[in-house]
Amino acid sequence: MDIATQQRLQALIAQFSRKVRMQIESNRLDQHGIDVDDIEQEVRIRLWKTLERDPKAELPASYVQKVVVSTLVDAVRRAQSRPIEQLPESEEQWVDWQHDRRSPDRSAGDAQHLDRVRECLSALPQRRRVPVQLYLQGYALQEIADLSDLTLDAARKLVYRGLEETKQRLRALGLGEFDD
Amino acid sequence: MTNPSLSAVYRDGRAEDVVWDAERLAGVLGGQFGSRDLRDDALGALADSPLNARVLRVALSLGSEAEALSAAVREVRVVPVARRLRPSWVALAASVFAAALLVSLKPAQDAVPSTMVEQTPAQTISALSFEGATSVAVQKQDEAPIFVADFDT
Repeated sequence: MDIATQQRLQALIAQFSRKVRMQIESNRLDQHGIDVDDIEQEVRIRLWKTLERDPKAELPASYVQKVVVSTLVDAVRRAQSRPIEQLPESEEQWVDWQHDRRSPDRSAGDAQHLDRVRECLSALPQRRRVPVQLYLQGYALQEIADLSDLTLDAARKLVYRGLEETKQRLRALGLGEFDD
Repeated sequence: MTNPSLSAVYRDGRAEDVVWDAERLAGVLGGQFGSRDLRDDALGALADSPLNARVLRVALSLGSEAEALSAAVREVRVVPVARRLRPSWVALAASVFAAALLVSLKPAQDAVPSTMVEQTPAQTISALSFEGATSVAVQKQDEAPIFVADFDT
């Protein structure tokens, strides 16, 4: 591989890695203790090694996505197995938990809401429940349609009917109105 | 006052989450389920796990970017190969063309010799001459010239 080709490929991979970073941030995956800089670099290294190893490798899109998934899984595992940070030693470093933490009343209320939401979702037929759950997880309608092998129109109908039914059940349980 | 968000309540309630194997997530991403029931189970489990749903969504959202990267890499890698191969292919194509041209220009020896066709009166299609009577018919009746001039003087 000549130097010009190497530079072009490295630039392409670097550009893609920056997009990975943007997606991690926009999906708030960085809240799970992962280091976005590390992931950006790791994706770049893994893709580059594949190209370096095999001069004929073309990097199919499905392969690129798998590299992203495996890099993320490794990063999350590393974050989850990381030892708990030590407690601060000086008094100034102590956090005022009383003001920072949610009140017990509010936590109990949230837990009750969650149980009711779960109940109402469980009551939906599976065909409608899964698209609604994916929607609540932040998936776009087109993504739900692609994953569930549905048309966009069918996915939209299942999600909206399911959401409406869930809200109606929550109202009937006396929990008031909910937004999406 | 705004109403509580159903999404926020649902996501917050799934804080304790363990990330799946990369293979399992890649299987969902690639749509490798085997049956409709297995697909629904896999998607249901994914929808129950905000962490895994987020990991998969990152990869899913990068679909078009991954396609673009794949196409660009292919282009970068194919162009130098094409340049390297071009002289030999061009030479081969040129020699084939030249050979075909030579063969087509060479007079064919086994061609049928041309013969004169003898025409019999019965085979005549038309013996009409347009230079006789027609030209007479258009002459002026008084035989007077319309225009006489000598351009040499």
